[in-house]
Amino acid sequence: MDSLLLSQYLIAGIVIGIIYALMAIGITFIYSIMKMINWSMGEFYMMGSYLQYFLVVYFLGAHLWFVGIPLSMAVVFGVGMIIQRYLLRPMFVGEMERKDEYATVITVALMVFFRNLAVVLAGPNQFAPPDYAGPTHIGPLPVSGNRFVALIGTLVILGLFYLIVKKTWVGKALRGSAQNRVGIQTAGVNVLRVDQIAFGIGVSLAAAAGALLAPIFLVWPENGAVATMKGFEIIVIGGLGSIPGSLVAGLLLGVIESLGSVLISPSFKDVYGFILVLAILTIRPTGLFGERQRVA
Amino acid sequence: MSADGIQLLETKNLTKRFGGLVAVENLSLSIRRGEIRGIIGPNGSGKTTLMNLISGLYRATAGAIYLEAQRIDGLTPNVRTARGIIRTFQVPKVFRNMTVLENMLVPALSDSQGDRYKRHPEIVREAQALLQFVQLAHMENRLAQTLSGGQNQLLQIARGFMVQPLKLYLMDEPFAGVNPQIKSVIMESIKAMNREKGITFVIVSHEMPSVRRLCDRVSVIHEGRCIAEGTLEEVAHIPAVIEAYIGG
Amino acid sequence: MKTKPKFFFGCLAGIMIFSLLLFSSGGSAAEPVKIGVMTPLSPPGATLLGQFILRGAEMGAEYVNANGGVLGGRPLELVVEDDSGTPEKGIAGYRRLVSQKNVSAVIGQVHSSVMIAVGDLSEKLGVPIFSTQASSKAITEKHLMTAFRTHAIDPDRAKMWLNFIQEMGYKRIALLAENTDYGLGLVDETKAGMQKLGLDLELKSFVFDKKVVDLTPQLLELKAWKPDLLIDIHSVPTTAYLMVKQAYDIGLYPGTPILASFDWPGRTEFWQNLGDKGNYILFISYYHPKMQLTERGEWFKQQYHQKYGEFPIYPAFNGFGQILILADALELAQSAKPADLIAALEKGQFKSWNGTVTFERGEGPYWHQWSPPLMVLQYTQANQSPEDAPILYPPEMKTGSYKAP
Ligand SMILES: Nc1ncnc2c1ncn2[C@@H]1O[C@H](COP(=O)(O)OP(=O)(O)OP(=O)(O)O)[C@@H](O)[C@H]1O
Ligand SMILES: [Mg+2]
Repeated sequence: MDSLLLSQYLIAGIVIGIIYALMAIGITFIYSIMKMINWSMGEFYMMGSYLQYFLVVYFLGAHLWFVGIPLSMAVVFGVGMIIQRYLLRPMFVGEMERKDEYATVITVALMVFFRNLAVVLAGPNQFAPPDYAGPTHIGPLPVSGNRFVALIGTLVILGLFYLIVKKTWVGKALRGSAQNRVGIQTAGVNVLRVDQIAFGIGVSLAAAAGALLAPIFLVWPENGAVATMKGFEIIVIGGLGSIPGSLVAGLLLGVIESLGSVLISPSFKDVYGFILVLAILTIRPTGLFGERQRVA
Repeated sequence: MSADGIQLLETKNLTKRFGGLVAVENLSLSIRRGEIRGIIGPNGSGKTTLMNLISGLYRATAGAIYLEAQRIDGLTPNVRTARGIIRTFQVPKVFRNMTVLENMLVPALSDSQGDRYKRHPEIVREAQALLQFVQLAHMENRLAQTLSGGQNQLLQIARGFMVQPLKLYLMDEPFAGVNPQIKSVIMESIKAMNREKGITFVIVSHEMPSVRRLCDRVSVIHEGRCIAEGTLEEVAHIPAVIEAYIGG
Repeated sequence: MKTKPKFFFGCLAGIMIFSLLLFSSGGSAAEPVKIGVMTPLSPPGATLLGQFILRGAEMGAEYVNANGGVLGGRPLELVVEDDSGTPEKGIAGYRRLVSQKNVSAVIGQVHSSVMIAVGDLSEKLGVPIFSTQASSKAITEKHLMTAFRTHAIDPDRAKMWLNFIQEMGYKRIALLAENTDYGLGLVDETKAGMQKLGLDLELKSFVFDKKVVDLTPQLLELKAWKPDLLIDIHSVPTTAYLMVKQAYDIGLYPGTPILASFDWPGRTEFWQNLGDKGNYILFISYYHPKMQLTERGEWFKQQYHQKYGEFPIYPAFNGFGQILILADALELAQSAKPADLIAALEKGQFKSWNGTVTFERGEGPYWHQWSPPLMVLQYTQANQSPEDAPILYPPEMKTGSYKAP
């Protein structure tokens, strides 16, 4: 295997891995605060990609694509807040049993609903917004401008996310809720409001992934499915609830898929991720960075 | 319902069932403003459940809770905190991945505190003063997970004092597993806050010496019911209480 | 708090019912002859093909019904079934069509894997099933009484591009193939055809999983192999568009030409999705807008344009054509019984959109098989309409030569 080609695979894997991680971080972030898994995450990705497409093509124009991304995120943030308020919040009020099941049922229903809604509103066809940037190089790898933009965009968004969580008062409330849900309530903080913000932020990360990847992986009603699957693989590898875990696992998955598909056999690209998932589950069932559930 | 303004907290026929198990049964308590009330009773008698009912983590199966003659059962925990009720837990609920100082700032995030968090330097100074008061100032930048159990108990208690206005402080076993030095810091701060700020305390404890030194009156809970009330000396001679402790 | 769960399920039921309402459609009048349209309408199937086939079939039924229906005035009624491109759903769908809906025939098959699975079942249940765009030769090779096809088969397609390769003088050929009956079948067919024709080519296949959206690593490897031509064998257009983009982005394409195994570049969304990056692509087509159509084909083309604001493409034509074939066969049989219908199909000559169709008991895969004319087209300009794309092959239809970037 020639080393140039090898480094090309590596870089391709890293680029795609970081972008996958964005999705996983959204899922993990919501889980860490609300202790529920949002199975409709891919549909928020889908929503982000459609919003970006319509904003860029009908309102902003191709050169203002970068304005579209925060706008798409903001709209999806709002949609997420509304969904949390009216569909998810009721299950956190009172002493409801089996919250997990309710969350699963509701979010799976949302998944079906949003996919169908997309078909009804925009048809089954796929769209692509105009390219964000011309082709370029990362080291020896010729990459599309779109991928480069998605990589940089993801890093910027992750940077902002880090700042919000670490440096702001909202971030303190978010972290507090993740670390001790009962403690934060008795300290006077309204966890339901925190949940709402967390859900909004989590789904807007998915929307960011959708908007950034729109010209690369196109816009259509089921485009979130692949991203969601990768997101969940990453979470199993990195550990549910761990943000650094998601980042590391995203990179790992991207690189392993890229190398596995050319070094071993190209026909089972998706299988390499699953093999990694199985291996991790055997060795460390809680994932690389997952904590064992504390019994307080 | 009494509205004479002397009673800060009242529970009326409070009952909590878990399936077939009655953890708190028909419990009526009155806590005077400014009082330091001890709650004692054998293991599993329902003390923690009572704390959970008053602080709003559990909903009562029956009965009512009044704070300053207003019903508060039905309010969520954070709203009760906004009304002036704070509590601690047997196992300290600190934010493990935050520093000690950050832990102190969490109550400032509460909605009821309005834009208090916007006065950042001021509130940090307030927190630092409290840390000084409980002798944790030198650790303000350490992560809570690096603290000992006793230090976390202190931190938890000090964090409660950040709530404003603070009327009623519920403490669940504040002295359990705490070394004598920290124990005395806790006792001193309770006394000082009671004296200087008029804060009312309800303290659940098995530590009779501490209860004797701190509490004006104690309530004895047994199998979810209040079986006696009075000074520790008084209740210690009631046959039902003796029996409860021997039997339990 | 007891009311909360009710509230949830209320919401949930609301969502579900709303979703269902969005999808259901009304039925029609008395004593119709029913024809099933079982086609992929949801992923992982090629939903677009399914949509177009359905449009064509619907207009076919309109055409027939406007001309007095069949069997003395009975209307044709279509019963739609979604197979999602998966054999399990296909089997369940076919069963439902036959045993619950009593259809006389089923059209609309797109995925070879589904059609093969359903073919075996159809032999038991006896209701004919039509491949509208499933091309594996295995489908008709089994000589089933119930399987019919009006679509090009793999040997036709492989022969087509081998001839084209010969004419162009290409030597190193990369086959980028999905790991399905369609992809692997065409790889085998190409190898077999090469031997039969005695061609001296270097073939290398790059196999990928159908669900993979990012083919960058494979394309990098393919690029390093330096082929003269890349033959793309995707069955789902969406991922094929992505592949073209990715090939462009790593500098493989258009320097190395890509030949698409079917006419997915012929759709309007090809340009919407790819813009300039799509230029110079080669593709196999069974239809060219400038080709001669039958009277019925011409009617369809105009009506479709009126209805949808764009001209129909092959799957729509073929869906339309199969309904007309069935209508004629019903008339010939004077019966809606599947067995009579099969006898009529084998016996008759049917006017479809692109010529006169027969289903003979031919050799090998040419059993109940009617192959439409095939051609290789190339886009020579960004945003070109298929109408303006020159036909490079076969020589008798040729309107232009290969244009290099
Ligand atoms: N969430 C719950 N679900 C079911 N039963 C509970 C729950 N919480 C408490 N109980 C039961 O209620 C009874 C009272 O428990 P509680 O914790 O209030 O006692 P306690 O007086 O605080 O005991 P200790 O002195 O050991 O802390 C016990 O029998 C306990 O098992
Ligand atoms: Mg207790």
